Amino acid sequence: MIPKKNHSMSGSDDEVAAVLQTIRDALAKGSANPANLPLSDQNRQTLEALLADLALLDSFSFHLSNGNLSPEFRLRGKMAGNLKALQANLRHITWQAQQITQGDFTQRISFLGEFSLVFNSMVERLEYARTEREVHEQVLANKNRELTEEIEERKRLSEHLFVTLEDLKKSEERYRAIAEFSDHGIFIISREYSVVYVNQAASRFMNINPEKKSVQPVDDINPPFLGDRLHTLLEPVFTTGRGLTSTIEVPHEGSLRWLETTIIPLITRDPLPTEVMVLTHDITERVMMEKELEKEGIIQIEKNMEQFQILNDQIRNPLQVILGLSSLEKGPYTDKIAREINILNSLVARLDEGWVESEKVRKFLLRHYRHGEDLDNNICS
Amino acid sequence: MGVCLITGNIANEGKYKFTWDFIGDIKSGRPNLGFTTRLEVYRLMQYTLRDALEQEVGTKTADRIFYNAGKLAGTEFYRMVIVNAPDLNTFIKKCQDALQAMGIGILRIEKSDLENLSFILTVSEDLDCSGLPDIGFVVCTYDEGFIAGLLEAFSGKKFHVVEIDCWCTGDRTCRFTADLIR
Repeated sequence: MIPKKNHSMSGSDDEVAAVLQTIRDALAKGSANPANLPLSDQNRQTLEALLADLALLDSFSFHLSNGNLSPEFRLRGKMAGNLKALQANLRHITWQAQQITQGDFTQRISFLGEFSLVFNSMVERLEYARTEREVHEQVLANKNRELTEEIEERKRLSEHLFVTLEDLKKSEERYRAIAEFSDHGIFIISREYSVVYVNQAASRFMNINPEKKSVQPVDDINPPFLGDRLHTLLEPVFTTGRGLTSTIEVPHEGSLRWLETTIIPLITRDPLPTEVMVLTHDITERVMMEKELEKEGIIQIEKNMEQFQILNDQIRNPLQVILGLSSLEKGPYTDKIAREINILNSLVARLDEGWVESEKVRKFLLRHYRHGEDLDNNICS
Repeated sequence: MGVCLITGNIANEGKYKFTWDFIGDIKSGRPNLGFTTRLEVYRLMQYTLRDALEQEVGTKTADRIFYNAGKLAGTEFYRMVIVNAPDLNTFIKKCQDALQAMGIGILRIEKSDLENLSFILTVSEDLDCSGLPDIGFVVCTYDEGFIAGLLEAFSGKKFHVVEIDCWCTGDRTCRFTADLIR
């Protein structure tokens, strides 16, 4: 039942209204002035204490709203307690964030609603990202180490290669000098039958232009039939990879020259040679000497044979005469004389056989020496 | 908590000198009711005991006894439950997990000054005062000792722990300061 308003209560009611409005002002605006309120001293003190508490609440909540967690708040009561609990939780979250910064990813927040979910998810992602980064860093470190080792290895190889190249260069210069100043003709021919190298001796003899040796075909070598001959000799070497030696007769400045030609395949990684080295050696003098010796040999053989024949005849005839006379004049030594004559006949017969062998040799030599050309300017068959 | 550790005689120098035998084999002892009970029962036990103590020995001594009991509990709790914590972060993490798992409270660290060994920590929804009315003074004396016992067992150093905020002072979480006793 609502009490009747009476005149004696109207003054208190107005005071209450004014006090309430003052409190509302404090809440709405942050402060209020109760100075002009018609209150007793005790009530005024109570109101001022309340307004002071409200001001403290306002101040503390303002600090919290700006992230300032330092202020100490000694006010008591439910509202103050809630704000202090909020401050405690925020400080705890700050402390946890510091631990995470220092690498402790075990930090988790409990019982703070959706903030717990998000915060904990964030920490898990951070931990995962760190693990991934560590793995990548390790991979990079390993790759870096491998690269460094490879660089060092290549550097060593490069230095070694440089030394090897220097040695090769010196070796090449050495062999080039040997090749250039050799009396033997040396040239290198490619699979395309081009002369890619020719030394001075070969250049002079075969009329190869040393300036154009890299482009000069074999077929252009003078005299032409030499090029043909070389072509014929080169073909099996290129196709089989096996070298050969042959003697080539070459007309040169109005006479015949004999060239002992050795073809050496230059093997690289290909199974068949891409280039061959041709060594030519002028053996004309030797050939001539051999022929001379052969010629003298044949002559000598024929002379020996002639001598044999004459000797045979000159021995046989007297032997027959002796035999005949012995048989006519029978005596104690007739048989013995006859046996001795037989022995001598046998010897002569063997000499005849030797003559036959000599004849065979002679015929062989004649065939070798131009099919029986006359040794003493006589034509033989 | 089904811990049963036989250490020899249950009563040594005093009749109720604490050993974990007083925790006993709860599993076999309460096969039906299990390990848990209501918080009201815990508080009924605590506050009636404190009332009786206070009547016997006065408020100050009763608080000191309760603090020491909490410290003993904290020491034993570290020895049997936390066991070995190699560093502070691990120690805090283990305490948080154990207190939460056993329904003791939600432990959080506000500040840690490792140089001076000074800490501010909060225990929310604690056993002693959560939901209690504002009566104008802090009541979590046992928790003060408990925290002091934990810190001393971990660090080997003595700490003085004081509750500065409590439900009974109108706050909504229990806040403690812990400072090294030099």
